[in-house]
Amino acid sequence: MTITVNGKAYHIEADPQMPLLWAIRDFIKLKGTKYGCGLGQCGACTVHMNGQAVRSCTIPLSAVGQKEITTIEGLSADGTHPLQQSWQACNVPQCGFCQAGQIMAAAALLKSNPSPSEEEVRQAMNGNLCRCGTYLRICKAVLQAAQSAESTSN
Amino acid sequence: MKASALAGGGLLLQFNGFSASGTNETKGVRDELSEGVPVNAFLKISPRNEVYFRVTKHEMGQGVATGLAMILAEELDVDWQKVNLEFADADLKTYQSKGGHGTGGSTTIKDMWPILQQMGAAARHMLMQAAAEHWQVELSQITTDKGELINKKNEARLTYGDIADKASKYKAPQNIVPKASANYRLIGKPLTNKIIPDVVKGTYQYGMDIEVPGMLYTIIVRCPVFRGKLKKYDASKTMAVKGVKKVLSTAKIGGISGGMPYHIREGVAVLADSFWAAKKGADQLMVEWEEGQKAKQSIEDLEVHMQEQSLQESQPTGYMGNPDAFANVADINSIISAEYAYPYQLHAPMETLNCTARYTTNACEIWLGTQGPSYIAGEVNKLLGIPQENITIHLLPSGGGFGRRYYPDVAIEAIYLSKEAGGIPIKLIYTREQDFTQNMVHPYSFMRYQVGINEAKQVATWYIKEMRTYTWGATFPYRPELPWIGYNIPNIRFDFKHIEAESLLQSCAWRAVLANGWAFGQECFLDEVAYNLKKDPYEFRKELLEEDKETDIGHSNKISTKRLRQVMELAVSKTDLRAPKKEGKGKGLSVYPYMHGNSYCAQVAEVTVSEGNLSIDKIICAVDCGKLINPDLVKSQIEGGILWGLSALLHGGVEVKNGRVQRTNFHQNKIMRHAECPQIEVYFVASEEGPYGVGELSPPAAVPAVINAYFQATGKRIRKLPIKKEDNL
Repeated sequence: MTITVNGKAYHIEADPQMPLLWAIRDFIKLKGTKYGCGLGQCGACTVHMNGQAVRSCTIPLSAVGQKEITTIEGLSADGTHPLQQSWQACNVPQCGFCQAGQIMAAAALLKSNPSPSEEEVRQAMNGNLCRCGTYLRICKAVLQAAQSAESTSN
Repeated sequence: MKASALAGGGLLLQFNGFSASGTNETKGVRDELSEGVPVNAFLKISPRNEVYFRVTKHEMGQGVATGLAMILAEELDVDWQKVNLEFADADLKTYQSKGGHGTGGSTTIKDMWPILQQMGAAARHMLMQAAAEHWQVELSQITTDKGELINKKNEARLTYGDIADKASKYKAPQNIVPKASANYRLIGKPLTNKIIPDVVKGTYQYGMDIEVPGMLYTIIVRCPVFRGKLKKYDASKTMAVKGVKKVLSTAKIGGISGGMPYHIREGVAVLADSFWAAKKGADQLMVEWEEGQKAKQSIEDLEVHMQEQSLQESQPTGYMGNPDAFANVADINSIISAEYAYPYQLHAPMETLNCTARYTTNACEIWLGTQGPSYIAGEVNKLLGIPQENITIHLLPSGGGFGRRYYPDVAIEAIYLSKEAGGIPIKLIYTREQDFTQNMVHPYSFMRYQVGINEAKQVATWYIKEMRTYTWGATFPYRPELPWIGYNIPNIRFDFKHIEAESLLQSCAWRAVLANGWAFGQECFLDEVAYNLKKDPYEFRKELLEEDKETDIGHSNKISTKRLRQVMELAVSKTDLRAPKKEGKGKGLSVYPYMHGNSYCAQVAEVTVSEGNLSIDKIICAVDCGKLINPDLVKSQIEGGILWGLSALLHGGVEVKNGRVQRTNFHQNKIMRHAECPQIEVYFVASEEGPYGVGELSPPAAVPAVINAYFQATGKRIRKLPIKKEDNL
């Protein structure tokens, strides 16, 4: 079957029940999207499907169809998405393993709610686990990115 | 890699270049790398004046790659923007005398500090020597400025890159006096962690991301019961799954071994051309186990056993003061005692354990994130007979180590399977379910505390008896280490008993290791004693820390009352402990050092308990870790460490039923989430000492601070983790 990831079409010969995560990692070889639990419990595998944040570890390949998939590698051309910048400014990642998922979840949040409150960020990001404990910085970085996007658009 | 040491432990000048495998750098950078000139064992400089710092320690989220690079770059005097990290292969011989590759105990920055200062300073000196010769002037006429050499006579300039080749031919000088701290340009600055640009683009490479041509994805179905045996298996359904190539037993390498014990569960490996095929194949495998005695036991059995053992007569394993004090009850007016239990804990790193391995005749190559490459080499040599010099270890960063990645088991499994598969490279991955149900854990620790109070209402004796499923120092006859108690108490006794045979899981290192249980028991019990004596817990601690004293507790670092007192005073100064208590609110204090890293911290927790719900509102943490290399990355470690401790407090423990771990994924093994996260304030004691370690400093003290606050809010004592929902009601 054929799926579209970061604007590029890929033909994949695999079990239709295989989760999208493994198509992205093992077949398309985009390694930025991470395996954390396989059950949609941790959010490390978060990607966008038609702009919505989804857990790629629970979506069978057969359910992808024509939908546009975006991974962390496709979030921006050169790593300059406001979240990618605020993540650096706030020194967010420690080990970094969950952060692609955190950023993709945050990017979807900002798309639907460009200036969220702190509480809204905490609630929206609650499904993304971080074992290093970077939550406070994630929250700060999301709010900072929202602000910088706002000032740019003004 | 060829390297030859100069006499007297000088710098290494002959160097074949860093290995190009398995790093986070882009290809362009790689090409340029090969042009770079190795000036010493930690440093290459390219003609474009890019600086490559070789990361010899394991970067697992503690920020050491950046911190270490800052130390070297400071003395070298280079432009920080031009400094790149290089995750290269292990070179056990070369680095043995230069801090090694082993990473743990919060010792990396502390131990590497003098080494990297010298490396940076010596390299700068060699560059200056080469420039002096180039311009035919005295060395004293040369100075440096952010990666450039300046001829003071005529202001002529050269870049380091222009002359690195010549500089590398000089003999490395020794004992160069490092910069005065007043002249620091990098150290002490909150610089951005160098790994982040790659992390946010998804290009930072972990062990899990490695691909080797022809490799097979591998999942091992291991015995669900600790120490169980493989009886037989039927792989017919597994082999029928499309993509499955081989099924192999790992029974031969099962069992416990190692100087720092670890355990490999017997199992059956499924090798396939994709992870998904391996997983489907593993699900289809029919295995019969000889589960053994532990299949009849549950965690409650272990708890009862430990409690019974704690009542048996025992001998002290560590001691301070007068041995007769505990028997001589004449001086003791009253006795206060309590039992505390710190249970098993899962590590749950976001990146599950994995290792990619390729076996070739009498040699092997592995790719993984590891805290202990030399432990791997030694064990692989011992168990599989491969000569140590034939073991190539490609060191990669990991998605969390937390002590678990110190052990060599996953590498042994991977190499063994590649060998059994006839040299096919294999990529062994733990599923999350395996990470939780077939893994090693934090030891279970049961502690019985008893203090004797004299007539003056002072603590005359402090007695701790600990039953624990892992030893470390406690039973070493040459190092009768006491728990890290710094209070000025005249008589302290520690009786330790190793509960090994009865353990239901294999224990191992877990971030902050023994300090977790010790801080929990000590700081909560001290709070109990204070209330019992009708003393304010803060004033009581102050009393016990009043006199300046450095005590030998059997650790290589002495414990200082002054440093304990200073962090406590700093933390307490940031809040009002005497403010009138509000309904359902509580504040709690704890003070605990991390002796391996020689750092100290105190924490004040603020909690609200309402309608049975515990909310941890705020943690104030004061830290003395000596001088700060990168204050923002240190702060990051303190914040993360606090949440690590609080995850164990809120959601930790491991239920075991009929020998089987009952937590299978994150819905059962919960860890703290965004919405539960308290506000955290971090303050530092100004210090010119150190630098000391911080990775494991804050988890231990976070737990008792919250529990003491919880007591203030509810009047209930928690003596066993985790806090259960019903405790709140």
